[in-house]
Amino acid sequence: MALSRRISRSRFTLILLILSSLTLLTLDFRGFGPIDSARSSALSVFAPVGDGAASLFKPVGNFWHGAFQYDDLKRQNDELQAQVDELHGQITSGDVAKQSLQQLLEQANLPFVGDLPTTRARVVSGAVANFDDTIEIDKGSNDGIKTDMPVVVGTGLVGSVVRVSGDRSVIKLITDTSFAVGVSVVGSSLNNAPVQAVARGQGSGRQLRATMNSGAPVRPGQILVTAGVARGLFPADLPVGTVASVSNDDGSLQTSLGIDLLANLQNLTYVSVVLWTGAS
Amino acid sequence: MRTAVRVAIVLLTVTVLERGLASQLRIDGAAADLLLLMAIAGGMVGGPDHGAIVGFFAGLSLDLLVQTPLGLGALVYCITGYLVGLAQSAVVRSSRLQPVFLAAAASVFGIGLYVLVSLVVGRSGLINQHLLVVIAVVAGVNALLIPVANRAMRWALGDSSNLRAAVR
Repeated sequence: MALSRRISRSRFTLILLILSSLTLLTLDFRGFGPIDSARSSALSVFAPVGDGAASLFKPVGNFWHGAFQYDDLKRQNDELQAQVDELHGQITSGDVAKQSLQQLLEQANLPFVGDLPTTRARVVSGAVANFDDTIEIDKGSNDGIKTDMPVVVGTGLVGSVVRVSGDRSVIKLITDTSFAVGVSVVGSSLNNAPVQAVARGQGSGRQLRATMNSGAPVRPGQILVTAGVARGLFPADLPVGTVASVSNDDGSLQTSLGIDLLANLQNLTYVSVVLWTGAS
Repeated sequence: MRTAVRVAIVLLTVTVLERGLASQLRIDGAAADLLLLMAIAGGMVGGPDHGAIVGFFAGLSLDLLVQTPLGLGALVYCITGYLVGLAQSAVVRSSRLQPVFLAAAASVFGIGLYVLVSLVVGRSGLINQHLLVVIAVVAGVNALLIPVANRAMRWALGDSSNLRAAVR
């Protein structure tokens, strides 16, 4: 008797909590203001705490990376060494310094951004959870950053701003499964109109995928840039990637593209936020 | 009241550890999920009732840290915590390894449910090879750390933990 009463009480608790979760999900999907504020506050509160913890545990992290990612680190070091040698002839000491220098040099020249103002920011944290394709940067609304602004590195588009607090912002990476960007194929046109498609993220470390009308003249190796359509989230001509594969299913009216990213999203150290809010 | 404060302290500490340490120590791109571990420990130590409540707040803490829909983690972790509590109460005779296996199984269930609910709320593309790595890493780490998590949760839930003997 007592056991069945306890079980029914547990069920009641579970149902109550499930309903609360579903309410939160619904409110979040509807863009309920206080939820956004709560998340921005959490970002502000956890930023210094997280940074402190990250600094405290840095030796553990270094040991871990050394033990489990030795091959990757070695390859990256070799690539960075060659790039920095090519640019400067001499290198500064320390692997982190080399990497930072390289990324800063890339940031110094962003020809595709044109006259649009940018602000440079340091990446302070990677994704927190397994299914979260984001990074955190050390600048926020105090530096003029707003949600939906594009984020780039020297080689192309990296993502867009999804959350902002006073001195922190969260960037959703272009590989996130919920990320979509309108692209046009450089050097291709169909009926005197540029060939355009919507590229979507497929998860960390994977190619973007895009579909377009069948018959468009697209071949592997062509460069894709943001289409910059009216009321779009991105200005025109930000490099996104190159066409890696073109596939036409039999009988389908759509052509599917595999897209290799131009920007290297691994070990980002510095990024530039384009202070552009064309959509609003 | 004292139990609530203790649970809050434990969850806050684990959230900081997840943000500052666990998310940086990745194996093949997959990180440990300490908040799911606390939901499992809540169920194991406190039964279905406490499992659901601890899981809900652990999931909510995760939701506030990441950019996935708010409530997704709370929903999944509270169900996981509840089911772990039910499974633990069905155990007649416990062994040293029983919590380890239960933690691993619950982790597989939790991650699977998370992906399933993500699909329902419109987040596609999570089912790929990397998912297997995530499941393996989360289940492995949670199985290793469950004795520590149970100890922390026993402290948080105090003497109200009705299954204390079972998880020793």
